[in-house]
Amino acid sequence: MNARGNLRIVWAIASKDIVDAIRNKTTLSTILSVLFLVVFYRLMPAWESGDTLPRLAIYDAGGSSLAAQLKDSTEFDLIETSSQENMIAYVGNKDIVVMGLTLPVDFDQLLASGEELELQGYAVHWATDAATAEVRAFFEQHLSELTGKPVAIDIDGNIVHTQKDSRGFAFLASVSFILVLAIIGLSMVPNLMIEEKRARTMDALLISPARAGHIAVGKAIAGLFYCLTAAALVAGTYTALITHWWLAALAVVCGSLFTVSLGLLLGSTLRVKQQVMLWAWLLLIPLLMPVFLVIATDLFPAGLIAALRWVPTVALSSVFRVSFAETAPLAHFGPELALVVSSAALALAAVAWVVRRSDR
Amino acid sequence: MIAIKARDLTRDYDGLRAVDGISFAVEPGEIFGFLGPNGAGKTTTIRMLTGQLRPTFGKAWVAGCDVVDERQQLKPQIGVVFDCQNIYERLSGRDNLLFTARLYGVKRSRVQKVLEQVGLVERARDKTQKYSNGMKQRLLIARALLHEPRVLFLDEPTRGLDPGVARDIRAIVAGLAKQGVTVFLTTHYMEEADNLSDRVAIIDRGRIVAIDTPEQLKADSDQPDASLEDAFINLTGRSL
Repeated sequence: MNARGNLRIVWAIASKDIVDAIRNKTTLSTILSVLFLVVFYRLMPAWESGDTLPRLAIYDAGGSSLAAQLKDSTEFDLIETSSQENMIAYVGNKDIVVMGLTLPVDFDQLLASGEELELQGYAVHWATDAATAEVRAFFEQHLSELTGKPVAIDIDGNIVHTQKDSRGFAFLASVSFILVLAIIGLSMVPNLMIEEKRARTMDALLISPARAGHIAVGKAIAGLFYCLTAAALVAGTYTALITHWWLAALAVVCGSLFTVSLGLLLGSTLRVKQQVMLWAWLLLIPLLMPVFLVIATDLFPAGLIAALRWVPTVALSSVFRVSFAETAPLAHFGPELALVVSSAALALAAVAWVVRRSDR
Repeated sequence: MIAIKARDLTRDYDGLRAVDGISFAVEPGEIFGFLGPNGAGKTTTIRMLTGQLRPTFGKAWVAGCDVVDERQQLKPQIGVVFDCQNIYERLSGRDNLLFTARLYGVKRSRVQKVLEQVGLVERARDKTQKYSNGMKQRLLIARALLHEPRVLFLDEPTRGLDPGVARDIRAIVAGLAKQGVTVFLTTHYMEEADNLSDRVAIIDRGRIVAIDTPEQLKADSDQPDASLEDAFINLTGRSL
């Protein structure tokens, strides 16, 4: 069969499954529930922040008298950090807009000199200009009242980007992507195959010009379509966070390929829906758990953390976080992306082997 | 060219011989009845002849294609109505056929023709989950005919259907044979095999015990005015 014929068959199967999945209660409920989870999870901090006070993270290099006054304020929450890096990390990791501030070593002398104070402030890159301006104005006013002098906070050049190993907000955003890709890939794709086996429409497909390979690729395209659509919705909720869209898109495509390949493997080896549910959840644990374990560097030995970094989802989480960072050098995401793609290729090879064996 | 030829066709399942060295040939345009009780090997034979199952031993050719080595060439030559109603229940009858048409690269206009042929035009846009068993069976026949196969395999096509619907299905099958389509028909129903088939093979415990025209099989029976069922009992020692 020529390439056009192959494409025609694959697209016939894929388009049928893309349309059919909307009408299938199992797949539809999977997609909707996982999206609800992500959106709810994304909006929760915003709802919570309505009840919380503005937050100020300071690094007081010289042990100034202002820090003690700030602590007593009931207008905002104060977080003191032990270093400039920790302060910046705190600002970058939070899922609400936090003002970071460095009090210079000679702050008390500057205050005594009577000159207008200009302090270095820090804000996250994903905050809107209006939100940053609002927080800055709030703290400028309070600091002016406390010091009795006009205080200006300069944030030019002090925009905080998340890092490759960021925890907090960037980490949670990366987990949202992975959760969506894993659940849709592992539960929806095998269900598409199991449905064909259960209804014995697979027999009709296999006596048609479609080969087992066409069926697997067609199902994979349907799975990829839903993974990409769901990931696009997730990206929509994190628009401001993503700096390198091309890398986020690449991570979504490679991640989808990986989870869809695993889904195909389940679908081609298992026969009953209950088995799929069981195995999908059993696989989700070793795929998702390491993503959380790997950030708890204080709790686990370095060897274990290093080993966990070889789990494809851990690597994928890192790639997503690079896409949120200020710069995305190849060295920061190349090896991780290669690991995800190799794992997908391995899973696809396993699928090809199983499909070839079960062709008769 | 012979439409179907089987030579010493054998299939084992886990050491159990389901089909045991059967050989036969079917002429083009012939309706060939394949009669046998449950577990006799009828469906296994169809699965081997349609390339779904690899024979343990033996060879078979359908429409000139080796069912093992030329499976892809075989596929456009055959149509299969399975022993179950394996259609997409969330799709309409028309969408089921359009999907099959895309698989075979058949023009959309052909869908309308087969819908007319099986009398499903009025309900074509309804989801098939609303179809009666008889309508589903008509749709299965339409699907099998969509790409105009040279050989049609029907695995118990009237099982569980109302007598009226079964009669309609038989009329469709008879019409197909008149158009030159070769029909390989497995059935439980003696009367169906008797009325429809040009020749009948009786299979029992995986072996063909007789193969001839229904008239000759009845004539060979010891009883005067024997029915095909009498012939069957005479040959196998048991009823269907």
